[in-house]
Amino acid sequence: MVFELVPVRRSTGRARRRDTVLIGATGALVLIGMGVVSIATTGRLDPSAPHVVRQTAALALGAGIAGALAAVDHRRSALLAPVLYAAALVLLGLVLVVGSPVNGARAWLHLGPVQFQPSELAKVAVLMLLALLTQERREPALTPRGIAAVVAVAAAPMGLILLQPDFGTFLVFGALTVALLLIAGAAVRHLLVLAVIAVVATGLAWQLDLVEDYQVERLAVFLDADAGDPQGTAYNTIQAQIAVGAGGLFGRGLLAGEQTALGYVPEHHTDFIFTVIAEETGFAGAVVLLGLYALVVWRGLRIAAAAPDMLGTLLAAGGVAVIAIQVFVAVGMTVGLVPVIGLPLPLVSYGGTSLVASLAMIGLMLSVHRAAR
Amino acid sequence: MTRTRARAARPTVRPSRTVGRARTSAMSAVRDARSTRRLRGVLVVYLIITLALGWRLVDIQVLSAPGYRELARRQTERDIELPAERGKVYDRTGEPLAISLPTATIVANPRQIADPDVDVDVNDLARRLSRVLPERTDEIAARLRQDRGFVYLARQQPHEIGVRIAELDLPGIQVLDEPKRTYPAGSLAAQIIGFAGTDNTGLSGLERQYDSLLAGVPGSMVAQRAPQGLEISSAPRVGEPPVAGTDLVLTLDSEVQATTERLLADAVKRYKAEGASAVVIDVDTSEILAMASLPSYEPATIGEASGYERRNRVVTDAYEPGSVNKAVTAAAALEEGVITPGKRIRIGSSHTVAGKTFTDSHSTAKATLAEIIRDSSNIGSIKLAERLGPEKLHEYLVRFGYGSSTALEFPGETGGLLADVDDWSGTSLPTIAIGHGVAASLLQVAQVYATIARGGEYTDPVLVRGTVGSDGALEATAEARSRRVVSEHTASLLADMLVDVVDDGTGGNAAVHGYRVAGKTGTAQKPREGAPGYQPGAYVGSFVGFAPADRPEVVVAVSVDEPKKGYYGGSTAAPLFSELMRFTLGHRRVPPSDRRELEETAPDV
Repeated sequence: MVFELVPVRRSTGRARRRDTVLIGATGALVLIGMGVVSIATTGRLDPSAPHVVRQTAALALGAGIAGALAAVDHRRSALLAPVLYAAALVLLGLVLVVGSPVNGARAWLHLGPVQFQPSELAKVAVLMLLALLTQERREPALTPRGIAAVVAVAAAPMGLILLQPDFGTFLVFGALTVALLLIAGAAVRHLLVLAVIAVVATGLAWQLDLVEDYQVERLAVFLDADAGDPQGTAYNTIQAQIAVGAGGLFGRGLLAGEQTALGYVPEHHTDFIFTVIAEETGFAGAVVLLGLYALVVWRGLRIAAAAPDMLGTLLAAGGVAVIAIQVFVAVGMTVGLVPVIGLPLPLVSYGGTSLVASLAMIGLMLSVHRAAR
Repeated sequence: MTRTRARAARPTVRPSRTVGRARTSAMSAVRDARSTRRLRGVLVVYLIITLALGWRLVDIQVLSAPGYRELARRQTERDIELPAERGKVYDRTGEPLAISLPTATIVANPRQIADPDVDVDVNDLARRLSRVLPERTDEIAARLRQDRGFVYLARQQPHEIGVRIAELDLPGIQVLDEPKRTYPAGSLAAQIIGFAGTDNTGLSGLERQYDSLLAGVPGSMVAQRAPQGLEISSAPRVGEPPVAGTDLVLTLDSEVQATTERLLADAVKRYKAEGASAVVIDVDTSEILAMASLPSYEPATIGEASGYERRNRVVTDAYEPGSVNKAVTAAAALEEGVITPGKRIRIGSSHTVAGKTFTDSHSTAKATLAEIIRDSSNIGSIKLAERLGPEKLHEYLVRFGYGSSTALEFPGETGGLLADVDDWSGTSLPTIAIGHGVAASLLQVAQVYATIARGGEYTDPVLVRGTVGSDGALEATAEARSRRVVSEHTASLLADMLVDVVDDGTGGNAAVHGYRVAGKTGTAQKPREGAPGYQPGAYVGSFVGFAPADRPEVVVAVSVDEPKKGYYGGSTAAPLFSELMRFTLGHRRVPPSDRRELEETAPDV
């Protein structure tokens, strides 16, 4: 089996303490992201392009945070979780009040020249706190009460995020929560009950008109591409697929992705960035990209399996879950596999907070790896 | 797998350093095993997700890629055609008859103007444009407000207007180079040159016949188009550069052509005719020096011209040639030996064939072939035809070029009407022998006399001398093909007889002072359209001949359509022939042929 979760070969010394495959795959994804952001925003490869400069600053910050987290034992850094969680809740509340709407959602805080997305901070904070809580609550066994406590902790930021509204990030938290409970050993029947509650809640939200119209429309379009306004949501789906398809086997060449460059695909430097890669480097490039993500996921789960404790397992696996669900959605919506849900392609899409958050989660994995048995 | 499970199940022995509490209980070990299993489950799920994405990518990027690429190309690219310069048309002396002038066509992209990023006031834009363009400000503004990606503001404006608009550098306004066809000689040879539309397509005449040569190959440029219909003009991809069309050099001589048209116009007026046609052919080369039918049209107002006016009727319209056809009957009779020059045959006052009685305008008991031709005897011609028989007469008509269009292949050219000999009725032989019941274009009739003038050899008519490509060198048209129709002896005997027609016979009005002229008159009633029989009082008078008779240089054929003043070919067409022949011989500096005159002007040394 190629993807073996628990290391078979016992190596010694420094090499074992640093997962070079994970670091390499992460680095490669970030570098690809830098290049594609430059192409998508300026039409050329320009390290001095404004978006690239800002992304590079975020990379420096993120790498620093990841390095610090990797250097510190995960059991120690997890102590930060309640503080980070509290800060995230405050900021998520604040953004609803003072945040400036972008594409209809209040997701951004403007701090002078810096823009900050509290929901990305919340991803790390919730991951850490849920891991901590789940790990504590599973002793001696994960009871329905314990599960309820974990879900309650997750529900607070999720509610605030739904108010922005940011359905995509909401889904990420849901996936994270379920993944952590699952891996922590929650009984399947409990998780099924949770699923039923989620379905009922969704139905209620629908009935109470809490779901934004555009969400409904996106779902309708996903179910039937001809539904709705061809210039609206269906248009985006179709244009994204045209861009991906136009790439063909080997792509139209770097900088030759007219379909994305001319603006037929929206948000092609953020949520739809995969279309640029697919159009310019084709199926070959897409496979390389998905391969790199598969490496990250494999190494992350391998670290989780070899973690010295359940906290480490949950921290690494939770990070994997957050990254994996975003890859699935960000790629899936460009190929008609998933409805249009705005989510960045982790490590690649433009967006400083997202990059810092993703790198922080990689840093946590590396920390767990260092502490491995 | 077993090893993995065993490892994972191994109890953790490391003591906790901070918050993590290591468990050594059996319960915990079981749950750790479950976690590892579930982690593996997560990995499997992720691999399935990746495979699902990969399957979609294979479908979209590999299997359906060509379709998507075409969809992308269609919406992101706009092919801009770069017009090729259309080839020019010159006469034989290099006089331009059709040229293309560069003109500017001003177009706009209203969507780009409406784009808020562009920030331009439509009224202001229209005002600035109207200062240069002929259109009014409000007209321009209305067009600029349309929700379209492309509108014409003004087409085919003088080049300078395009330059001035381009200098204004207005957003969303573009100047396209659109060559406009013009005919510097106006109506001269208009029916022959024909007409090309604004889209650089030949619609009639030589413009149509040689369209593939004249048109050249348009070049292309690919512009990128953004979703709002904005063209990204900064990044056009140059495709192929246009290849200019090939120039045509005609055999026409503008001076002869102009004179022909003037004389025809005079004749139409003088004889109050519907129209008149003429063709002038160089005997040596078979080149057409002039060809015209009046009334004609001005290219600038071609829209108002009727089909009759537009047609090059010399080749497109067939008519019953009448007595000029007797030359064919005579040539066949001589060639086949059914008569010899010295022999007299019985004529009589009338001759009845299959119930139809033929007479002559002045009857005689007996006549030689020369006399039959000179006096245009119907009975004599019919009797000769009877000696030949239908097959032979038909054969000679075909050999002289009847029944099929000439090698000119001019658009709309007619081959005339010659019934298959099997379909001939009892009266076909006598009527065809005197040029009725058979129809030909004036050019076909001219070719009969050109054949006689050329010593019995039929040569295909030529209208295009050659082409001039990008290298600037004249590439001559392939030499015209020739075939023998009658012997040189027959041709020369016949030529002498045709001289008598002018000197002593029905064609006296065709004489040209100082030259021996050979030729034949013809008068034919116009057949009714779509019904048997003839139109009463509607005649076509013609005269066809060549000069100088001893060493022929020029063939001229003229016809006058429905003259109201005098209808005989001898009284309408013959004088016209004389004038045209005289001018052409003089223009071509053909020395006079009459020996006495030669002796007078240049005494023997």
